Amino acid sequence: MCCVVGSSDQFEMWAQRCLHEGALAGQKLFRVVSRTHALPAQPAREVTIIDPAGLPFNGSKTLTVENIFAMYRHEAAKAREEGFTGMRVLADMRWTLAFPALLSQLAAFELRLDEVVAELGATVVCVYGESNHARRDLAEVVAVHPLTSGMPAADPGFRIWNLDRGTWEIAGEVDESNVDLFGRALTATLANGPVRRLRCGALRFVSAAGIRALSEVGQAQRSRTMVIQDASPMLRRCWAIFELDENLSQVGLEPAAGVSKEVAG
Amino acid sequence: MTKTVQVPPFQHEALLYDGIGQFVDSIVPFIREGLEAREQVLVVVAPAKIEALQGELGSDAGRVSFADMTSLGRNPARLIPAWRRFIDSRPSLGVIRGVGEPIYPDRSPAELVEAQAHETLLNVAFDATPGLKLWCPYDVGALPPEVVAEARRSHPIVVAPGGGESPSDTYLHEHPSPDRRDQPLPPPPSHAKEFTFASEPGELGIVRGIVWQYAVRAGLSRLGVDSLTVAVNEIATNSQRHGGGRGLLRLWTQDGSVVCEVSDAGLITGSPLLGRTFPPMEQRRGRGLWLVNQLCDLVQIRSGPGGTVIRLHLRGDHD
Repeated sequence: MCCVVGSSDQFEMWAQRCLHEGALAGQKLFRVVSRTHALPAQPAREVTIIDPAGLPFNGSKTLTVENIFAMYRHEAAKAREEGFTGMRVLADMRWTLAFPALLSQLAAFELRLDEVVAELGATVVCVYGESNHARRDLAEVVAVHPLTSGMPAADPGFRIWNLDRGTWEIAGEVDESNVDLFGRALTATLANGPVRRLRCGALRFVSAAGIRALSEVGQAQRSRTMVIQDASPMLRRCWAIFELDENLSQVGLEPAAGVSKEVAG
Repeated sequence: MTKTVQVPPFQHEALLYDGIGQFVDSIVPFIREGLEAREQVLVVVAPAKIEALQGELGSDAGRVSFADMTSLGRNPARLIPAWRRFIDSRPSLGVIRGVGEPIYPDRSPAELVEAQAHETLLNVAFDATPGLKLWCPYDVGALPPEVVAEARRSHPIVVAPGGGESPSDTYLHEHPSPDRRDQPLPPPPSHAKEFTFASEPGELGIVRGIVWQYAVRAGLSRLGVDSLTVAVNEIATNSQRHGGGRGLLRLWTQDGSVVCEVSDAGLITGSPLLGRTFPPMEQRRGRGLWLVNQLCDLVQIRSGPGGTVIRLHLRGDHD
């Protein structure tokens, strides 16, 4: 889940509520926060603080995405050993500001995190401040979260998130205003391994350029088959108009369940 | 010894006939001649004429490809891509023989102009494509004289019933406006709904919502509603990108069709075949107009120094 907040006060109020819900659910609570950012003076409950910059994983002291995921795996296992139902991580994403390389790949990072969260059954809430991150970066981050809290000024208009290994869900509307972002988000999914299934039942609209972006995912993994699931009659019609059904045979379009062959055309 | 096969240049000829009898008597020998020469033959005419030709051809009809002009050519801008596909599907550089009747009495005045543009654009599209011999029949008994006169301007050869060919002395080798982008459109009706849009985020979504709602209320099918919404989105996107960043959307119903007009300050330049040439996957531009032509029953594009106006028509019986 992603939360976009406007101020530190808003953030803290929201953080306390989030952690309270986690405590009620029997989860072990974590806060990811950089040591350069102030912590609440008196934490209301037992919360383990993690400073990503200080993670000495594999003895390398180098922060990589895989280090962070290894930490999550390690802590999730430990939490279960200690009798917790799981882990809840509240991540103050200001720590990413210190890592420009990561900052430029936030969407890819979040999509990869999606997979790890699904694997661990953990709850991870990433909190971004509107005054800290660029509007474009925030839109990109919001786009790759199925749930968003707060009122992000830069709503990307679509969402894409991981359901299972190789399976992604797409929701919303894609047109000229967000197609570049859509293309980048789709490209980021490929960084996590082959895309086998794109579920599009909640994709309410997709423009010609958006269809091209979808086709590029299939084209990028030529030797693998991919299914665009729950494709609307209109998406299937446009796909055929661009002759993608003939020229991109490794990509199959499946109509939504309950749509007869006749209606599917 | 190698045998050299001479492939003739593109031949675009108007057959001037009077009534279904002369049509069948002229077209059947033309088709048979092609079949005897082992040419591939495609005939795109109205269903009643397909039936008449098939009856006369008997078992030979199975060697001919037929397509319904009232469906395939409902939007005349879809015809050049269809001919191109047929040509590209030939196994080797053989001769293709075609019959296409895009202009028939049932065409509305708006369709007629676009069908005439199609006839002229055939000369542009296939000028460098050898091996296509295309007859375009014109029913002189049912069409107004000015339409027949225009046929003489768009076809270098005129064929009389019985097959006698003669050059057209009014043929325009260099048509000043092959795509008719400079032809004036009748003004929109006073009751047309009007909405302006700009390039702000969310504006395209608003345009889509307006079109969708109007098309639903006008009684279009679900697929028709979605087709029109997708098509208008592409045209409005062009206004945002190339038309000065804003546009005016007008909507009205006319003769059983929903008409959506998008106008802006832009000027369309470039190939007159814009929207009639298939955009391969790697091509980023020109995809929108291709899609629009395939989705709509009629597309009228007008562009000049005063700006661009594009009208999209979708009929109530669109499926």
